[in-house]
Amino acid sequence: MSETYDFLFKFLVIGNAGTGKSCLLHQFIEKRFKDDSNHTIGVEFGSKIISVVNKFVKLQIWDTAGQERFRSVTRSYYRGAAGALLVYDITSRETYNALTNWLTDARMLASQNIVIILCGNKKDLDADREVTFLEASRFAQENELMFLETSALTGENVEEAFVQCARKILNKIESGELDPERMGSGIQYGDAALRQLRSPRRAQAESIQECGC
Amino acid sequence: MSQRSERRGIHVDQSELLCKKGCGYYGNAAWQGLCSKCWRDEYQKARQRQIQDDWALAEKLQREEEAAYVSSHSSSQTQPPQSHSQHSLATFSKFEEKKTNEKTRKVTTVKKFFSPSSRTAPKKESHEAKTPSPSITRQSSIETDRVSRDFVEFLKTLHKPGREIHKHSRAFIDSMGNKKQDLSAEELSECVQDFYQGMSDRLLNHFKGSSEKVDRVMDQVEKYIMTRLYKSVFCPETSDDEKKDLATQHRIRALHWVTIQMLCVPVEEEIPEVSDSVVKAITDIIEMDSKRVPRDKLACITSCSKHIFNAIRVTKNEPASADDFLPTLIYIVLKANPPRLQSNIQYITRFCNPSRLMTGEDGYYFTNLCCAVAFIEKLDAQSLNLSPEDFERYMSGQASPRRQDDPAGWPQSGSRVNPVLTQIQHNLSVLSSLEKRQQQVIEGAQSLEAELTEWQESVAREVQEILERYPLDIKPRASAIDAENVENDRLPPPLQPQVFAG
Repeated sequence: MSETYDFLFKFLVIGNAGTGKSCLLHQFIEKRFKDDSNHTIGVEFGSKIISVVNKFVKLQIWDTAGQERFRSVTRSYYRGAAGALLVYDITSRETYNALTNWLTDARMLASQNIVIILCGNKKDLDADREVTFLEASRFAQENELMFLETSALTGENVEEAFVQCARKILNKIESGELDPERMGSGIQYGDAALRQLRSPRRAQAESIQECGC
Repeated sequence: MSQRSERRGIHVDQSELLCKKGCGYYGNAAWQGLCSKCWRDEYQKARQRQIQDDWALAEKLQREEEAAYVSSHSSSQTQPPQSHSQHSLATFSKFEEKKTNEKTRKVTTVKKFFSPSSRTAPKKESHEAKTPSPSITRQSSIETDRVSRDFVEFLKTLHKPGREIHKHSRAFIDSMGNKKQDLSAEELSECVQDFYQGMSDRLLNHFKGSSEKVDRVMDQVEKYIMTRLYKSVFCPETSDDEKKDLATQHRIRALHWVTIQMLCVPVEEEIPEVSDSVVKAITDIIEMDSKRVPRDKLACITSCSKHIFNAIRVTKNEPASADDFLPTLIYIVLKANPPRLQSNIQYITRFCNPSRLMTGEDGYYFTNLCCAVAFIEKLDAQSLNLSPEDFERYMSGQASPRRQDDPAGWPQSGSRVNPVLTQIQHNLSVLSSLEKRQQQVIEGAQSLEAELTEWQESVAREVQEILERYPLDIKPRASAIDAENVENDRLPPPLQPQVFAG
């Protein structure tokens, strides 16, 4: 907690159960796959600081339960999220078919400005592939999502997915699309950002506090 | 007396210029015909009388206020100001003064009015109120005193900002004390959240970007404020929190039959370390109700969640995921049935520093707990992959008091969570086993008895059959003589002895 950072982003990892959401999280946080971590002290809550376009960003990553029976009660996860990884399993068409539902929930429950990246996980199991890259890429384009195929086993594109998402959020902040001052934006200033903001004595927009419900 | 002297002064003033006291000096109309010395003496006496009158009035008001507080009659509270104003008018009408003297007298009156009451009142009264209202001393709890002392000690390290924080916090608590009876739970929550926001903004300006320090101070502020306000804002009467608590408690009790398999919980309670983690998780979430500060309640939830993750990790031998965590948390909540669960969730939602709930580890685990409770409320057959018939049978059958008394109705999967329940189930199991064994022994004994009887009868019957099959004919024996005769018939005749002469 004592590290210095400019921004803090709340991230979600959403998708069907068994698609590898927690493995992606562990790979990103600990740089290893679950099979290799027999004697590791598990980091249940994901939190990591990365460097994106000259700024330090702290990502707080919320792993979510993907079972169908929990879908109606897990909506409070989305409150105040700035970004999301939408995960499906390339060897399971069922998980790909469920993406529309996850996307609808995210857009409705978080905010219209939430930045979502589509992740086709288990790329290392290409022999069992059921969803083609082209098909998923088209889906991503139609829904204005970024898209990457990842492998939590080999670590391929895992960090890249988080970094791309964070970079897009930063771009939205600079362009004014995203207002960090809003309570529900999922973005908080770190120490360095506050110091930078105070010194020029810029007038800040009045804080609009959203209802937490 | 004074009126007479006034008349005499006016009358003599027209004819003579000397002081009316007869001291030989010239008098002055401004001093009512007296010289300066005599006038000063006269003024002293009047002032003394005024002081005594004020004292008596103050004591009277004090008694009236205390009586009003005790009987809590609002009508009597309006009387003191009227009495005060009437008495003031009467007092002031006694004298004809210049403006400067009148002002001086008013100031003196107000000061003297408050000084006697400050002696009797246990605390200093606010000078904003003209009428002193002595507050009834409340016996605050030991914990509240300790938290107040800790708060003051913490703020001393901050020097001047600390004094500002303390002043603002106390003012806020006082205002909340006045408002609590009129506001709803949501309005109370808004007041507290607004205070947090304002305090946080002020601190950010002072500490110039050190959010770590701001967070630390805000934690102390929250602890101080919520400890003081807990009694009035937790489960307030204006809300339906208590009703929801009872509904949730009944719901969880009705779902005692739900098993690990139904929820797909990846926890193997046969492993001692796993069972230990489960017990600790249940203890933590039950302990949540005993805490007062929202942050401490959240710490209980976080500790519970970490024990759950440990149980899953030991069972699966790999890090846990949210797919595994949420069903396990649901299972723990069902086993624990934490006291006043809804009230605690509402209290945290309303009065916790919001920055900790939206993000952060505590917020993540709290969100999962809210999901778990929502799931339990909406639980149905489909949620557990059961048929509606089975679900209804479990829900209604277990509720039957007759079934509950029957040991056979006890859940098949024994609960390893509660050691007392475990012992009871173990004893019931042993008794059942002993009953079976005794039944077997009795049956064996009866079987052996029947077998013995059967054997005796069968032996007797066989002997009888043999006798009937081979009858034994015994001919009557001949006499002994006849027997010898029989032998003689076959033998040669006996030899006769021969005599030899030699």
